[in-house]
Amino acid sequence: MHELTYAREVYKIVHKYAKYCKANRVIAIYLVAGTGTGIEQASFQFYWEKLAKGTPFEGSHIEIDYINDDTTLLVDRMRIEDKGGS
Amino acid sequence: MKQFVINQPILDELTKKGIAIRQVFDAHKIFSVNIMASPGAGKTSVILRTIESFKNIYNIAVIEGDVIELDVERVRNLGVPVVLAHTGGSCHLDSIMMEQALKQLNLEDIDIIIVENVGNLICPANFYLGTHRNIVIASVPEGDDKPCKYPGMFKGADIVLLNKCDYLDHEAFELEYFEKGIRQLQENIRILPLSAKTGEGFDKWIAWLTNSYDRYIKSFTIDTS
Repeated sequence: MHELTYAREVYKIVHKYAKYCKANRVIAIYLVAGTGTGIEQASFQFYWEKLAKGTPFEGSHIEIDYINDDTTLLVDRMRIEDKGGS
Repeated sequence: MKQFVINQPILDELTKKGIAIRQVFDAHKIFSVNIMASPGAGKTSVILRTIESFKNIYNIAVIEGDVIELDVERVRNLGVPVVLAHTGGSCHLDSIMMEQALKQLNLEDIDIIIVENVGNLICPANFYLGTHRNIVIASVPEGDDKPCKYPGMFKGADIVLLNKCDYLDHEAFELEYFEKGIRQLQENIRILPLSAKTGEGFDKWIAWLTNSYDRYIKSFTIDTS
């Protein structure tokens, strides 16, 4: 269930940066998470799809790179299609 | 397609809200504790007994992280201000829920705020609420392996209370193994066995809380010597 909170916070961050870099569409979002944070890829993807429906993030792929700690939760980078379509 | 580096902590905004809450606490000289444990460890029972010990000495208020008012009613029956921080079924309290709950309290008349987090040994540890101390409660019937299974929670604790210690003679609970699990994470942390039911060990917990409160209040005194 905590994935819903994380997904909401990721949405706010990605929304801000997508606007800044004039993204037409967000293709993929890469997160880094400590194994101890309990964030689960499938559950996160589930909530992300609900939040992203009807937005430029719809259909975006989520990838979580797990590292061995208890606290890291980071939006590392994203792959975008910009206004030019590239 | 382009790649765009972000490198931003996911909980940045919530953490900033937590810092703002801490500033509100400090502006009102309110000492605050965040009580975390698994469901059934005895968070509410410990809080109720703590209130009984303190209510004629300090003005206490309680924030209950929950979806129903059952525990709120239990606290209200003791005559102290209490509000529900509605979690919407979430597995943790966050600083937005705290912010909403604090709006319902009269902060001018409070010395100590006790926050009862959601029963869970993983998620609450990841969300900074702005409170001054993290209190983790474990209990004997849960088993002695909790520190090994949930290191994130015990690593962030300022004190660990081992509740239901009156069951120590009846359960296969190795106190030494339990303590070792915690000491591997924090060598010098205080571990207090107690029982909210019988009151055993409560004097030490109350003394710890009193000392923590006194030190907090003294920290506002400017040394002019």
